[in-house]
Amino acid sequence: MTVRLNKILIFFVLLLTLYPICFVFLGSFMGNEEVKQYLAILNAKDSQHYVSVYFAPKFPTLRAYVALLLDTPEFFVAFWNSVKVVSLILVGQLAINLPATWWFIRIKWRGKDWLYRLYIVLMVLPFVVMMLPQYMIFKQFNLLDKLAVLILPAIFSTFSVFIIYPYFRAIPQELIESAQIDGATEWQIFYKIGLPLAMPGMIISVVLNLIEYWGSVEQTLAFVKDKTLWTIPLFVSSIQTSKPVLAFVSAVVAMILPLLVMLIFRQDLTNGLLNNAGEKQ
Amino acid sequence: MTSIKIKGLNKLHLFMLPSLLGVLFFYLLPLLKIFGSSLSNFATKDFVGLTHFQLVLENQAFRLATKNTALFMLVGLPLLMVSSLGFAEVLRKLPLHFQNLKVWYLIPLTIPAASLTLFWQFFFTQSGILNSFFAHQIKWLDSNLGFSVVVIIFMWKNFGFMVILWLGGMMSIPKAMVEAAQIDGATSRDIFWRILLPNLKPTAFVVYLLAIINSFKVYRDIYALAGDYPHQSMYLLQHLFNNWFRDFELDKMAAGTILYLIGLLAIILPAQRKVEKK
Repeated sequence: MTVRLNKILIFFVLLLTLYPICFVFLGSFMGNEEVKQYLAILNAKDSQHYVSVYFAPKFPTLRAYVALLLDTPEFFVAFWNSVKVVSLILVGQLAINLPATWWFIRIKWRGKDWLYRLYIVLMVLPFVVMMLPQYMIFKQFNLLDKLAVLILPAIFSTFSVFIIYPYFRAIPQELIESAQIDGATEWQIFYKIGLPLAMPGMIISVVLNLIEYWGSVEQTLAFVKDKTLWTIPLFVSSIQTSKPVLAFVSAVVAMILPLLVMLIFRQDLTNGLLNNAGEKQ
Repeated sequence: MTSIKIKGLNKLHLFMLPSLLGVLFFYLLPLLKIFGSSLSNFATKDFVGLTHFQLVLENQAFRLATKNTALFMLVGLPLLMVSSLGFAEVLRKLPLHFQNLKVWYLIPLTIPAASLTLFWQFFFTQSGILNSFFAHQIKWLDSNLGFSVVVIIFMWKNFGFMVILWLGGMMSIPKAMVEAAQIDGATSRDIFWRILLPNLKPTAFVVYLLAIINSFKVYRDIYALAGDYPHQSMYLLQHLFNNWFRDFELDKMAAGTILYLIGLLAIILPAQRKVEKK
């Protein structure tokens, strides 16, 4: 009996989880007129009709996709900006944080515990706390209104250290020692032993950061006034007022990339995601 | 021997150097600088002591935003952590093909906030989907119910992520331990309370940290849904800071930043200490 109830619960939660996404997908196949009708309900305060939970296009069409992909140049600019920013962030993060995490594992120095604690605190800090402090630095160094302002601080975000740490730590000490005896340099050990064994951690770090920076808006709103440098989420937000008929379809196109990446790496993400990341050295 | 050691040590430090420099320049230095600025006037650079802090603490908007943010975390974090733990336990006991569904619960995390604004509008608006169930025009976005909107969106987005984190922690507990208890006649309730839960402490810390990190991101959804000045029950510290930033109220903002930072340290450091002690 409880097993059956539990199964029902599982499917009910699954339905709640996926419904909003299906809603947006279905909306993207609506024609202009139909989208306009629905948007009218949003704006009319005293409408007697409710939006039905069985939300579906009456006459499914791909016209909105054609309009967005062929007839909206701002979309491509924003998309390309996002791709540029996010890929540079992801590459930079690995280049900086993989060696740094390796240092945390290998170094024998008392102060490293304190440094690790500091890194965890920095990882938790929300952007609002850093907004004014970073703004002052960027202004001083003339970095405002450049994509670098979105990329550089993100590269040094300490989140990936926290993710990759347990994977490096799980490497058996003997393996490293025997490599040392064979005359391997630190770099060789890191490159030939550390990196391959930390692969799942790297994948998790890349996917989570991709999700984060693909959707981030705060930094752009605060530091980038130039609209030609806007990224995808800002484009999606702005099109809801400028071309509302394309709102659904741009929402769908904006979510495709992180969704696909997550589905491709689902094995790594769900098999013991971040196992023991909090455990102390 | 020592020279080799020192040489080796130096090389190892090169691994850390880039990260340390970046963290210094983009995080620590700016924070230190703002600490200085909070004690002086932004325009004239005159030393003013703690007057800005006093100004901020007496500020109505700051009090409202702090109250809302604190209340949201106080309600949202435990609700999310406990419900996802319970759900993970339900999922763990079901056959394997049910557990394979878990990847679908992760999907909300991947969707950018901007992509779902439209849905939340259709869901919470007066003639929206939610009200169609009640056949009543409840004002979700323009009343004190706004607070529940914040919690609902936060829960929807992070529930599956937290379930997967908990499940990962449960999987890492040796099966032999659970099986031994089963042979000794432990019920599944005993196993959960006596074996799983005590061993999930490190996972709990990870879940706690990531839940805090993601609790700040609910601002993206609320901002896109209700703009700069939402109903006062949804007005979070992020709204206030962004409004201050836009209006160039930098004196208040500097002092507010320091206060916010202290508040965050107060909720992170004790948890960290507790986990490290074990």
